Amino acid sequence: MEFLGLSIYAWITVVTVIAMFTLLLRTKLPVEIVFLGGIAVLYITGVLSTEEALSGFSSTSVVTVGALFIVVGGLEHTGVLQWIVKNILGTPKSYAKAIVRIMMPAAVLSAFMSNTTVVALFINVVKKWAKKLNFAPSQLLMPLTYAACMGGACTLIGSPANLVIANFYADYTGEQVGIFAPTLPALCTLFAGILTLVVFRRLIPVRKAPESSFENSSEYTAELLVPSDSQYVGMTAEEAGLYNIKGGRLIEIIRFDREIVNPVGPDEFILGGDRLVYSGDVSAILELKSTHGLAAANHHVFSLQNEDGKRRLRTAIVCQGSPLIDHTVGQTDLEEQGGVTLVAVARRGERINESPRDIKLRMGDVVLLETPKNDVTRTLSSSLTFFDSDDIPNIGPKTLLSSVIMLAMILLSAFHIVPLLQSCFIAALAMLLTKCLPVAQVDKCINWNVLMVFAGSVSLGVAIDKSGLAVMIANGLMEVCAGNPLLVLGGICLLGTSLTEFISNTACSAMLAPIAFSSAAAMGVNPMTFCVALMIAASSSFATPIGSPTHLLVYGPGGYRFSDFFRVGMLLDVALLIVNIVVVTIFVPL
Amino acid sequence: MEITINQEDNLTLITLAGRLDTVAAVDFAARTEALCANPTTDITVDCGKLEYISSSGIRTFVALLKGCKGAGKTMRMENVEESVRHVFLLTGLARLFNLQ
Repeated sequence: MEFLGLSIYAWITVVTVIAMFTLLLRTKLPVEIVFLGGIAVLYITGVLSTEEALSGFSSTSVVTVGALFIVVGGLEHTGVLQWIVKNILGTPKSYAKAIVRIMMPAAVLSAFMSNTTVVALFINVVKKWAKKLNFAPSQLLMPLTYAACMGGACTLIGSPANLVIANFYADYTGEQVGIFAPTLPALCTLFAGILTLVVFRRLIPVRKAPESSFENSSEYTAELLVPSDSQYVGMTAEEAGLYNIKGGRLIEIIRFDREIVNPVGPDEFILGGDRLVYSGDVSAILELKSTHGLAAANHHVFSLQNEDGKRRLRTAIVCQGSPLIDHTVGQTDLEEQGGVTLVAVARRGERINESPRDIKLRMGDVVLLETPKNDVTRTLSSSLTFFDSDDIPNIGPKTLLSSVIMLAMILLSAFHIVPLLQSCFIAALAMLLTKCLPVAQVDKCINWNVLMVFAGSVSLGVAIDKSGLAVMIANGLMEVCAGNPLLVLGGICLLGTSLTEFISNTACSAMLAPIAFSSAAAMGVNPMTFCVALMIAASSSFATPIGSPTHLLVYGPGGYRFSDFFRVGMLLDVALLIVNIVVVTIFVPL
Repeated sequence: MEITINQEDNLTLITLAGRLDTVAAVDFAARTEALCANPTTDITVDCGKLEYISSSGIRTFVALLKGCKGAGKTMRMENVEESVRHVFLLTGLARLFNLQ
């Protein structure tokens, strides 16, 4: 049964893909749920067989990424990455040189590991570096995230999207893609990208960063609770020494019955159950906990539970799809779930002069939390992305050992001694056997959500291919491009760059790879050209902050606005699209 | 909210009836302003018919207490209902007003 030239299965696939797109763009549903839901629909309606629906989970590329999580975990645990990040930046004399200095190492590291890991590691160091060089962090964080994306395209293991494309290539041609297959063209686009940013560096916005405010904390508010048994109950704020404190002042009192006293005069009485809202130096404000017996304001307490020494301050960003968005912290179970307390909130470098607990949070807000000593990063990963790593790197002999393991993994695969999957497994096993990564840490290293999305993307690609949708779109594309392979290649890359601005590059690759290879087969041209060009295009998402998880990581700390990415990113998108098509057809002729 | 203030030779008796909410507290504060500033007698507050007290109401109680202490006078609360006593416990003021 056909309608408008498409089978019922193809229509189901089209509707499912559109529904998934809509859900991803319009709702806060977790990406992995949307993908698994989509696959469930395709399976139930018979588009995919049981084997095909589950193919993503047994896909070589998905398992490879899983093993790579462990390898990178080992590198991180032994301090290799931290060592590189700290020792590589130097003191460049101009802004242009600083851009190059940050982009080169970020791109090289991203070529071999998750770009999110790389950017997360660099953020804090770059912020301090920017301060030292007298630049706004926004001037260097944007080049950082762009470099991580471009670097990801440089090797097969640099980005899960590359592995998805390579997987489809192997299915179509029966040939494996080498680990360095995209390297030369991707390096050219990387250089073109760096050059573009250096030439148009004035377009990179100078924004005041909320993170710098934490260092010079006059931009923050913090909230403390007066216990019922406090000796200061019944005194005026001034008498109690709670009015003007070192590095801050009392700006608001929220009474037990939610009545708000604002502004607060020095003669205002202190009552038990009061929430005292201060603005100023957060660490000085929190000293009131020990000097005045105040408590963290997460719940009412009748007597103080002094937890000092067991807790510490950490900064995190409200991530995309976080359940905290559009809610105050009290409306969610964040504090109970992680045992954390919200201390302060900053938005685009500006203090929000309200009680932190009354602020409706938005994506990209930077929050300062008081957390337990134990790790809360994983527990709260769906709501927040933490800037600092929990693990204290152990620089020592294992730092060298884990580097050797990583290098051996790349060489084994590059020289075709063993296939990539095997070399990843050997390296992962070696990391565990040598205790470069303790077994107890393995679960922490593997990002299951990413693997689920990845597996879902692979199965989605299979549906697009099997339902005949890929061939249909490929034929349409060839018709529009009058069968000119160069134009078809350009069309697919343009589609890839556009799509990846809104969805993950893995999902984008899974949708476009079957179309790309069907087109190449129909025109009788080299599918490897399409393979490499699509890898680069899928990593070219520069124009929106949601184009890549790394953009979102720097969005808050950089104090950017949504449109900031558009200005520089569109320019990069266009420049890299042209360079991509030109260099790929030179290095891998059609 | 009914507020009655009876001044005798050595005692001022304040009788409160109803809900001392945020709005009523403004009136209460205005009527006791002179007492807070310079109490000439001891003060007793009869809370027998007081059903509810807001934080603004409590604030005036504290101001009265401080005024009395400053002038060497005493302040007592009488017939305090359980719900009102609970608010004084919650705010840590029960010990200052001897309500424990």
